[in-house]
Amino acid sequence: MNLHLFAISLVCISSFLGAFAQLELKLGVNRSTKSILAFFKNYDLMAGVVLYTVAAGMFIFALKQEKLTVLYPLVATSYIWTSLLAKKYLDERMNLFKWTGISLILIGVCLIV
Amino acid sequence: MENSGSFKVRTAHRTQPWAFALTLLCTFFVSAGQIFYKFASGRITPDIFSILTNVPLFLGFASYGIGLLLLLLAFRGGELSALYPIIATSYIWVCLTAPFFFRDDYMTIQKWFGIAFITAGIISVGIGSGRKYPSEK
Repeated sequence: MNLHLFAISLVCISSFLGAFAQLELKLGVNRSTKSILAFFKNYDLMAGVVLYTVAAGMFIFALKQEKLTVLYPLVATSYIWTSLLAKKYLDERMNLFKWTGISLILIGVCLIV
Repeated sequence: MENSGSFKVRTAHRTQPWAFALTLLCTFFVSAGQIFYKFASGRITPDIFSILTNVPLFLGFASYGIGLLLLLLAFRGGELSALYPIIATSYIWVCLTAPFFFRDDYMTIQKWFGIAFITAGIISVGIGSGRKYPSEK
């Protein structure tokens, strides 16, 4: 398999996992965690931290095969996935302002790298 | 008494101003972390001792850790879809500060445009998250 294609697919998966990590972290902090013991029973929070680490690891690995200018805009798509997940699982409402904002951020990230 | 597991705190629908501020503070630490990682990457050699004594690497880990904690605190104050896009400001901080730390890094007109687009995007997300829910009236 082409190494560039491999790196790009890896980062696409990484941005999905990153979005799921944010969802899990949000679900985790929505629970009350007043004591340290409660923190270690908070599986959502732990799942979030693990997913976050795996996603970051995949990105760093992919960075060895492909340029940052290609990979950064792909990582930034996680803003789209996070919003879609928030809409589906957290009942958050999206609107034109939010979608426009995310589009502008994506364009900005493409320009900056 | 502990109340782990089943007890869920009702988070505000409308995102609180302090949550935006905490997320912004988080981006400062994330950006510092990225600058530290860049310093660290220049010192990576295959032997383990050099990794264990790579101070910027551990400063990078520490910055990311603090950033994640701040983000978790911020997430308690509102919507994920409103707060998460704020993380994109870390692109701006890294872009603006990198030329001071690394000689081969410099600002270009294209980067200024990128910064303008990201800023506009975050303002738009902010406006969008301040809009009322149809149920609120």
